[in-house]
Amino acid sequence: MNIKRQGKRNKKKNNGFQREQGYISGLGRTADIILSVVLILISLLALLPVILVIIISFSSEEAIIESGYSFFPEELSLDAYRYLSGHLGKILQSLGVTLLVTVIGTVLSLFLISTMAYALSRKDFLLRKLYTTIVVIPVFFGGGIASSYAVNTQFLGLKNSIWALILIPACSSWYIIVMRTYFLSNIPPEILEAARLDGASDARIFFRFVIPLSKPIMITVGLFEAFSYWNSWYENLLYTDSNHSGLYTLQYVLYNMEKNVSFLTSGDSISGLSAARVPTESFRMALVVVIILPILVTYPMFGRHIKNGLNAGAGK
Amino acid sequence: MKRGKKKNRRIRGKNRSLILLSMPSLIWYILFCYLPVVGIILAFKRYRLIPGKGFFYSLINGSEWVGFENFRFLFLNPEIGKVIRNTLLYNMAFLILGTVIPVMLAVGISYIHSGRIRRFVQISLLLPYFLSWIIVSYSVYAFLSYDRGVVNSVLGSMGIQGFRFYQSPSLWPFILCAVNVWKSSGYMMMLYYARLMAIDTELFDAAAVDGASNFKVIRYIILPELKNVILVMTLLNLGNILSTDFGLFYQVTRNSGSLLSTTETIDVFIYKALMEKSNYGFSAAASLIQNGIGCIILVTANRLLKKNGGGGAAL
Amino acid sequence: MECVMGRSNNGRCVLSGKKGLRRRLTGAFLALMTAFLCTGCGEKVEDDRTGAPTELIWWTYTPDGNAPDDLEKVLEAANRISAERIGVTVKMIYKTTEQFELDQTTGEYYDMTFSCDWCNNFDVNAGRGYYYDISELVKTEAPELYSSVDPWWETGTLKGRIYGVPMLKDLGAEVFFRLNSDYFETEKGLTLPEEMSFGELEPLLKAWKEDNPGDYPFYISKGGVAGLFQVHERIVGNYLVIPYSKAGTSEGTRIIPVFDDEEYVGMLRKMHEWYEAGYINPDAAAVEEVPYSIKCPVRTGTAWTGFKGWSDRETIGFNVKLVRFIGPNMSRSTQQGSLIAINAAASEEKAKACLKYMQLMYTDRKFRDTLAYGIEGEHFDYYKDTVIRTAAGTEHYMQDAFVTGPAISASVVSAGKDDTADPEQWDKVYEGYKNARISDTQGFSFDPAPVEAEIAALDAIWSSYASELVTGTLDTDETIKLMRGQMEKAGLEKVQEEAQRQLDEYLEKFR
Repeated sequence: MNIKRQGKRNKKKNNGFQREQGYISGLGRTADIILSVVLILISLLALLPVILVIIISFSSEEAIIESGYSFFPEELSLDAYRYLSGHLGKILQSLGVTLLVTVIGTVLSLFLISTMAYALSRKDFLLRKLYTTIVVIPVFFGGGIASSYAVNTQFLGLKNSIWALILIPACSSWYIIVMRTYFLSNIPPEILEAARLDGASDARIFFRFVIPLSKPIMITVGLFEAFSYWNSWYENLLYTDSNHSGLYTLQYVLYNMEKNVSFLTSGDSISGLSAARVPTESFRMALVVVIILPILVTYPMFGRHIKNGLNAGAGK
Repeated sequence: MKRGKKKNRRIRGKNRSLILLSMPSLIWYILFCYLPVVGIILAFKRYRLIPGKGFFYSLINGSEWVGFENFRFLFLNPEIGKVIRNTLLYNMAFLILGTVIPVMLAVGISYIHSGRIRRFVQISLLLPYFLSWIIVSYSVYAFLSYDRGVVNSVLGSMGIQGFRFYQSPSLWPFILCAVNVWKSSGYMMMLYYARLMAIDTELFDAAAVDGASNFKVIRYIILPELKNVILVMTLLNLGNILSTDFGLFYQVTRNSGSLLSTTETIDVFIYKALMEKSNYGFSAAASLIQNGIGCIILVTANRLLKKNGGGGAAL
Repeated sequence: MECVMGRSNNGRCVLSGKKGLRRRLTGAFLALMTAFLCTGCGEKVEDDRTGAPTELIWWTYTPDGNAPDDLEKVLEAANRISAERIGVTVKMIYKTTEQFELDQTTGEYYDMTFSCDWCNNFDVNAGRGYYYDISELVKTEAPELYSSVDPWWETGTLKGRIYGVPMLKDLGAEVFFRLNSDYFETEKGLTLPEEMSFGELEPLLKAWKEDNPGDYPFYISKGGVAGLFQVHERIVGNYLVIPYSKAGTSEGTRIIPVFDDEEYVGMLRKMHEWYEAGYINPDAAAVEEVPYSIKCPVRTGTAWTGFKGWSDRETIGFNVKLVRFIGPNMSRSTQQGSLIAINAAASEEKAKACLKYMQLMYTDRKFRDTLAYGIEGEHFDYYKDTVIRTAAGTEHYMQDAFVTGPAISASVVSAGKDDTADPEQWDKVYEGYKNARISDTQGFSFDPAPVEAEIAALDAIWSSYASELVTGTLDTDETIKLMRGQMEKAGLEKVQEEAQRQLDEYLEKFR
């Protein structure tokens, strides 16, 4: 068996396991193809419900009523998108806010998470136990929604402010702990010793060495935080009044539209609610398309960078 | 003496720099997590607002202590045993599935040569994570609806009678596990993949020199490198052992009564109890129990981990 | 640095070193906590500049988070009128039920707020003292308001004191079948009566099903038949009730579990029969709503006689005939559809201003129409003493009348020039209430405080099985047996006894 494998390896052009291109090259051609096909099939399976949702968004309400949900609808219609475009003004306005919140929020978020994670990863940090406890406790014990709301509005004055959208979701104990684990496993202490012997302060070590070495995790967490900000609507629900609709994020605008559609259709439980015509089923699905579109567009751009973090040269 | 002083100053200097670095984060925690922590006493009080005064004044001065009264409603449900059982079983299943499957996917993806294929697989698996549970529930309904769903129409064209999915409790543990795996695997896979990408190339070079097979590489290099991350994730999930994702168990099941025996979890019960008349004291009490027990489990597991040499992962 | 906090035993400053750092951090934290607790102690006081009109903060309801697009414009016009007449202007903030909950509980300031039995619950909040007692003030400061609302002040009264102003609209529950008259009358040649009983729907369903065997005539959502429960008065949750059929009899004040209401259970059994017969959509218990693109010939709804909101042929797709099958039934909960309450923390000045504003709503038709429908000529037009909305009005200032005040003092809405509403609609509706079945509880409101835990558990159990019960999905009697069993274990009898005790006490004291 060994001989066979050695023979195979000798046939390969590259030598052993490479990681520059962002993958482990231990497979021969056939194995790679088989694996790729299997994973592509799995991906398509995962995409199936999403594809169904997209197709429904382009189906006409009548087709859905008549023949049910199907991958091959009888009748296509842009009604749902037309209804959406009727509210284009609100949507575009919210895009500006959302972008601003996402960019500032992601940067702030990465900063807060990585700095604390770094401090926690340093075994020689005297307050390490204390800070770890401070970070972990809120995962379990919080004041509850009313208490947080009261603090944020009555003490911090965040009601109807854009900072409510940026600051409140900024930090996350979960990501701090994950990142701390990465720093512990990834950053060789030799590098830190070497830098310190050169007289660098911890801050400089952090910015000069740790961050570049942790590109994979920084980008991954950064992407997740960015998407989290992009999709946020709960802070709007709590902290912005109806007369500050300029602060509505995209997701909140869509959420309200969905609630309105739902209300208009199901309003027969409240007395005297007039009927209104809205493309309910397809509209909901159209909202999904609007939500995932930016993700589909931006991911390929960043995905490329989640590669090799530790280059051979850095250790020397 | 001199050396001691120098070391002391160096330690303080280093620590001061770390303290300053993490100060903004600390401030965030104080402002947004610890200031509101006072609210925990809501679990033991009957909250009443004093008109004209703010929340905290009313909480501290205007609301009476009621001991454990707020916890009572949880135990009045005759089905509470089943509910707790469901919660624990599902969380165990999710823990196992949520580790094994993403790790396998991450390792698999990391072996693929083509960057394009890699990114396609990643984005496809990641996409479900970004869908809200309401949308997922509509999507599931589009498949499982009795008269309009895709599954029954496919079965119908084959001459098979359609299933009443929303009235068949025995099918749902599988459905819910599948939906959960579908939705969260991509996310966890990304975290494991990022870790894989940061493994020291020297390890791989050494393996190449030694003539190791792929299985050996996976077993002796990749998995050990992933061990710490896996342990930390498991630890954190153990802390959430009594909590579940509400959207999955309430919205995807459409809160169908027939399915309760196999799908009702603690969070669903709490939601239904407080949906009509919200009661901040009750929800605070429920959270306290769920999180309190979770915390105890986490601390215990953490200690065990430390004893058994899992220092890299333990908190 | 001067060592201000003193020195410890080994001579080092208390605030230095590792321990000192901990002390510093703790000190800073405590200082921060103290500062913030103090700010939670008081609310900002509005300062009234004499001469300028009093501005009131008014909270009202929106199902999604949005205020109508043209709110600013319309408020400007409305404020001009009110500033001139009574020296008061308003700032309206629209809230969803969740936002109401949070803001009311944490004490955010408002002057007057929308309150009813399904949102920002009136009885609960008034019972907790959150609302201003206007019992005397309304008679002295706003006598016309008092007489406009009379004799319906009971709905805003709790334990003998008035805490809210009813915004009069339909007060009795009338539930209608909304039938496709094109199909049933024109095509099938039947004559649809003005009223029918629930069971009399069956032949209509049968006829339709025969013509359309693959489809379902009676599409419902998980809430079941909208308005079906209006055959009884709900005392506690959805499960302890007093049937209207008992009103006026010796059992008129006896609270029973909903499972013992024969009239209601009879209708539920019918639903199950119809479900099995294929008249009802099989997934009813899983469906949130029934969109209007589904052209089913039968829907239901609660409204009042003469309501035109369901008759828009464009939207519905056919002509609709309303046939009443329940009501009019009246009790406290049907009457509490809309009230405005004043914040207990408001100053007397502000309270007076609120009352004057509400008086204006009741007495000035033009002003009321502005608030309700928008700017004349832009959002609506008058036609034969009724209101017809323009396209702009439907797009940019569409909300139901109860959101902005009393319905009876606003003009009625017509569906179109060829389908006008009766301007005397409300007088007729209120005339009709003279024949209503009125509950014997006379304004009683249950105080849940002693049994809150039981109620939470009961609510959960009810919510678990309700959809399958009320949509007829499962066998009625078996489901009732299951629910009753679980609810009794959770304390149903205890709550029933407590409710009966409170009711008997109330009738003794306040009757």
